[in-house]
Amino acid sequence: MTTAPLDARRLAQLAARYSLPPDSLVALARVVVQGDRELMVEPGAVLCSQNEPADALYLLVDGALRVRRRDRRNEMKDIATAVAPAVLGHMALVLHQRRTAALVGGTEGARVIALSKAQVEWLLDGHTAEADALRRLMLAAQLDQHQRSVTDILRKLDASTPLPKGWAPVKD
Amino acid sequence: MQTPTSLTPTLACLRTFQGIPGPEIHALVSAGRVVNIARGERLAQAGDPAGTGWLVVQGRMRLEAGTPRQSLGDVWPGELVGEHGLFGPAQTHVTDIVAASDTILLALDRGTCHATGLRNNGAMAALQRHTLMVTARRLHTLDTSRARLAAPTPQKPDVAPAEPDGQTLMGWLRGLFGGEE
Repeated sequence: MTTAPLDARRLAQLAARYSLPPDSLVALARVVVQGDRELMVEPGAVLCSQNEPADALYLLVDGALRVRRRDRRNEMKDIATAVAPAVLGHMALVLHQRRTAALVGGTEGARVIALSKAQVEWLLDGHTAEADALRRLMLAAQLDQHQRSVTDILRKLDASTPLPKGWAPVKD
Repeated sequence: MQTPTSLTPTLACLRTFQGIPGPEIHALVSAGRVVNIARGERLAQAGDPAGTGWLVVQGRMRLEAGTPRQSLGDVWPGELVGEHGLFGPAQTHVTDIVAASDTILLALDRGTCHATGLRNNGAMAALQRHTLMVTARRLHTLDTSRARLAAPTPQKPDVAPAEPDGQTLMGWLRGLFGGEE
């Protein structure tokens, strides 16, 4: 992995992806600038490993990351692909758990903004516009994942459950 | 009749808002409107447009889905129903929301919650933190259940993971809902 200059323009796509109000973008940009650690993840490079302690929140701003987990044969297997823009790694961070899956650079690699655990925890407790913007981003990412999971299970239980517009089924 | 102002002392006693000064809670409730709903009444149906979240102040709400409808879990005071519409990118509700008892709710609209006045509000921050924690726990429950199904076992190292059956799927679904009573 290498570092690269911050590309704040891609934040707008991230905010739009999660339907954040446009005026929260400035606050979100301040969050990123304060904790800037932009990483270029080469294809196949490991961003984080399964079972390691969560030490960062990842904002995927370009490219794709493969989500991998050990299967019953103890082999690493792709369980999903996250495509930019997306927020990853929030669950383990909020719950102080270990990572339940690994993140690996996709075929074209990925550009990721990593926010440290300390910065995220400090902001989660804050009452500022920046703290509000980060909480809204993390909430939107979690609730998006929650609704996709619910819809996916409902569809397996009852094939007639319609998918919300523009959604693809979650890959197991 | 309940007014938003009269809800402030009740909300201040809930764990979600523990330690939050009264004026901060008052500012949050002033941005919402009170909804009284009788047991059995339906607040929203799956597929309805989302854009409002309801904070349970007193009573209990139930989430239902599937054909025929099955209960997925209850939501208790201090928690949100319809949170996808309030904080998430969802356009529609994914479950039915029904009153499990006579219930008092504080309705919060997405537009109101994005208003600048609530961005530095301690009660809104507390509600966001609580919802983050609850949703993370629900997702983690599902994630660990899925991982367990696919995890390596010394006894059966060459056996492919089983597809989840209906009962397993319903259990996973229930794990994604319900309150933190």
